[in-house]
Amino acid sequence: MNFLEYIPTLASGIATTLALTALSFAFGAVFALPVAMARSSRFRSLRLLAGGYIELVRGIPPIAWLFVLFFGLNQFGIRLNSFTAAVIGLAIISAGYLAEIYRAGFNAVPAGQHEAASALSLSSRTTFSSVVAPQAIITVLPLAIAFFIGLLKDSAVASVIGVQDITTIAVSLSKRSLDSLTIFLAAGAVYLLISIPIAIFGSWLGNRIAQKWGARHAR
Amino acid sequence: MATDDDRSAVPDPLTPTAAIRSIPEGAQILEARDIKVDFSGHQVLNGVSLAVNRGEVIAIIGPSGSGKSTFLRCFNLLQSPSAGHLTIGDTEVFSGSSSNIRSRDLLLLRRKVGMCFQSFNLFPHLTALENVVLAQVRALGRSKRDARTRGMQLLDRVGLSDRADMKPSQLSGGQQQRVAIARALALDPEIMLFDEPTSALDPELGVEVLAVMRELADEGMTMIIVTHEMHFAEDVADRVIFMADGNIVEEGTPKKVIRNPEHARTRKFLSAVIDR
Repeated sequence: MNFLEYIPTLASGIATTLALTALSFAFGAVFALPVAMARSSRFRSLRLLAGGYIELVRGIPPIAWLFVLFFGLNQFGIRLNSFTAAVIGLAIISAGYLAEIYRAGFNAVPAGQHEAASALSLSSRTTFSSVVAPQAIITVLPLAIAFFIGLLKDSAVASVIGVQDITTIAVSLSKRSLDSLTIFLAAGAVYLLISIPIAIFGSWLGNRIAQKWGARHAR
Repeated sequence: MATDDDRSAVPDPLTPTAAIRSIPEGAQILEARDIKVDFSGHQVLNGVSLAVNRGEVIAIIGPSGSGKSTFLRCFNLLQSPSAGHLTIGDTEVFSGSSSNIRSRDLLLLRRKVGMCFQSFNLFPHLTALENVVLAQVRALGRSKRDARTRGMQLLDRVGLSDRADMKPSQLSGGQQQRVAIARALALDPEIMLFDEPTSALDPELGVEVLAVMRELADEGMTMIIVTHEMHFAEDVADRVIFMADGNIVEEGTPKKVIRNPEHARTRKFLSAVIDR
């Protein structure tokens, strides 16, 4: 079989890879918000807690998280199917990274914006939702999309617990053939096929938002 | 669309300023007593006092680092003093060494005291009109429709009703500062603070901002202005305050402080500013 002939078989894993990535990104993106807010809280204990979480997530390899969730919890009678375990694991990891991305976005909003909001008697909630968050998006969006693409590739780690994604299909194909090189090259091509459009969409979206606000960022 | 009829049609559902509004022209509206500020051990204000009457226009001048902007920022508690007393209207909003103001009262205070910044600080993702509308809706609870009506009136007043739908990045610095003035006025403040409103502007653009401020002063707005514009201070201010090294060195009528300064420090500063 040649390179192109492997593609359709491998492509049957696209849906799983995409679902795994999108779900863990979405859960991670939601959970990252309280983590990011705690990270820049005025309470030291909250800052430490969030900081600890982020370090934990960044310091432990994803494969270890998946083993703990899939095999480890099994010992205590908690049985997760491999897909659920992978989503939970990757979401936990995403939340840590995305929290740091959010924080970079909040910090990029100039102090003068907070001062103007305070001087206008806006509550801290309104300041966040109407002033800080919409401006942080400009910083957050490109970083978050780059993270999403990274996660798409890193989701391949879920193959170790048997999620039927692109990588798992490639592994099982290669076991039945002597043509591993071609198979994994084809698998790489399939990953590229989905990540390139996402990257293009991301930069289009970023440009659009920047344009909508005018090219110059206010001080 | 901006007529006087519209203005009276805009109800103000929350009028915390009623107590202050009853203060007659000339009565005291702001009193800062013995305000001290230190930034991690470094004393920026060494116990400065100022009393302002309703309708008065005060210009604060002085070299960079004299503490004049810090002093100004104490008046809406953007800067929390390390010691001193601050009374706005008949409410003591700060007393002693820590703010005894609850966050709800802080929000009320800031509705009464508007502020314009050197760098404008307009919200870049909102149009000129949206900048003026936001706090009316979110802080005063006005309806969107009323807030837009009021916003258009104010933009008209600063000569920018034709720029209502533009983003700050599409406006010149002078126009941005005028939008910022309209934005602050939208909360119907009793006092307006200006922190070097023209320092970031070309002289030509500064003029249009000063013209708006002059009009405001003529209408009887109480204003405290930190500025390097000596001619403006001389023309418009009722009282000029010269600060240096965290103290008020000299204060009095513009004629006295700018034309006949008593202190050597004031003379040195003014000769550097005026006779350059």
